Amino acid sequence: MTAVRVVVLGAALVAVGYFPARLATGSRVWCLLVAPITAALLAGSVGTIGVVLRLPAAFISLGTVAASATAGVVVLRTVNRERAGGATESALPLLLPIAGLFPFLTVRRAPFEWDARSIWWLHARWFTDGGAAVWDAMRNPAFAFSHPDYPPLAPAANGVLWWFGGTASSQQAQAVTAILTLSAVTVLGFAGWHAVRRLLPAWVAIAGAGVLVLAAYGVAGVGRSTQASGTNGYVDLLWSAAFAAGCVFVLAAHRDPMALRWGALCLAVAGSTKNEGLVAVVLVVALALVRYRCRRPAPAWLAGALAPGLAWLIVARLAGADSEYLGNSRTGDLLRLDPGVLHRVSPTVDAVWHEMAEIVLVAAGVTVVGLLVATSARRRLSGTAWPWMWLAWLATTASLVYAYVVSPAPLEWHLMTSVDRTTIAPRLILLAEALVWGFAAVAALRQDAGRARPTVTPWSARASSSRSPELSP
Amino acid sequence: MRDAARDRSVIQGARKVGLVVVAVAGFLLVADVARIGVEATRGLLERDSIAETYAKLDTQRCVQEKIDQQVPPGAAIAVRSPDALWFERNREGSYPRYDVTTEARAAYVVTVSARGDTCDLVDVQVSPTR
Repeated sequence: MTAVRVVVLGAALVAVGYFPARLATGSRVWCLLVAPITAALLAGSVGTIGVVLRLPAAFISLGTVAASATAGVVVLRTVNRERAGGATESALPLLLPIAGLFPFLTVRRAPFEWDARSIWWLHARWFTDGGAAVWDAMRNPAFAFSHPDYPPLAPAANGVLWWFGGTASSQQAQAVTAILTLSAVTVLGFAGWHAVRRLLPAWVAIAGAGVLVLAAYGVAGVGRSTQASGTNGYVDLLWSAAFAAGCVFVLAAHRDPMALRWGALCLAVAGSTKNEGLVAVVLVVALALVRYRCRRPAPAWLAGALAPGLAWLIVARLAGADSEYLGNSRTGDLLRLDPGVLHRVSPTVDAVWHEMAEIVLVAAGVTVVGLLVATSARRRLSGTAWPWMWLAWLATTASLVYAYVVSPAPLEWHLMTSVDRTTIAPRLILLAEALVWGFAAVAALRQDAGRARPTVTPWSARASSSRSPELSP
Repeated sequence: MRDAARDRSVIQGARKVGLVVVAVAGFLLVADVARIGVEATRGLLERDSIAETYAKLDTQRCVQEKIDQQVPPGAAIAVRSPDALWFERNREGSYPRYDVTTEARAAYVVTVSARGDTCDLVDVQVSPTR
């Protein structure tokens, strides 16, 4: 896979995703960052329709392009109105992908990793053969090992690109998944930048966001020095970064319409990428509804975030796909307090804690001290000092522990093979939260310095004059 | 009066220290995880590490070729292996060249057994079911 080919694939994803992303976010420039994962979300959504109606592969591939073109027509028809009312967007966030380029270089490794082949690229080959092939494969007991109920975002995107290219290259699929992951990780950095951009100098905000991009790859790499988790075809960092970005937008940023739209798009991506992503998204949507007090347009956007993931869940059940979450779960045993299930709780909590302990402890310290000294600055950044992100972390971690406890798989094997990947999302939430608190502290220090120099325009006046409108008081 | 001013000054000093601690700790936490990512990436980009991944991929391709040499294209096959790696790799690797199915429906049963990590140590046996 040459660098030129990777650039061409990236450009194709941006081209297909640009107008749908622009339509969803209302942004003209920043939507370039989210365009690749929006293209994949579109492919996954059209793919879901193709599977339920058992349509040929041409429908899924051409339908994705047609949906993108339709979004383009809608955007271009409203472009004049946007120009009249739209604000200028800084091009600075477009630098964020550069922060992820070094870890991205590991895409040069061979496409041989376990789940990438057994799950994601096998499912992509089904999509290349069309909706009926996906439907039949989901019902095929010989493919039960492949988690046939897993969501379609990454497989459909690869299936569509393979269909157009006339090849089923694993190396291409690895590159495409890596590009989607880079897009999601970049959007996480952008979410941090977006939350603090009005209160801090541009270079401070963009530098912090860039380090967050690199840290996302670091979280995925901790304890797995033999695997390039962001570029090996796995989708754990992809959904986790999109999910954490969604959390920052809907729980840590000001309650404004733009944050809501970005958050809904990111959460839709997370919920359409992996089953645990969908569970986590349901919980965060509930938190966001409380935070937004169910005021319009929050319910519509947040319902939209759930729609693609829930639609796939229904299609997979209709097809009769084997599901470890729905079909074989030991929830009944847990409710009956079966000792065989209860014995799984303690080792699960230990394993999850082992993965997260350092980040949890430092982030907790930062939050507690932050609440003591930087509450007002945090309110200016987020509209509230309420620990919404910690609630999201708690809900996500609890859902994770629950999934391991009721899983039919042998616990030791299950934890050993996945706990480092399933805990990426809650760890990213806390990293983002710690960074936002850090930004809040810097903003407070700048405010103090501003007060000491009365000739300077008061920081609070600048902040309040440039803040976006809140959805509610 | 002077005590109150001094108290206020101490509180403001403590607050400033707290703000610096939050800013530094928040940033260092993220930066430290980023450092781990950079170190891991460096290791993953070493020539030997990359070569090892291609050796594994070559072995997977070689074992699949052993199946291709013994099974006619499009045939219904079932894959058996006590080794989870080869069980999964050859089921997914055989799609869509073959109709991968259960043993009850298969025309051929492919049995893969591994005595080691290299292709010459992986045996492939193909037997017709009827």
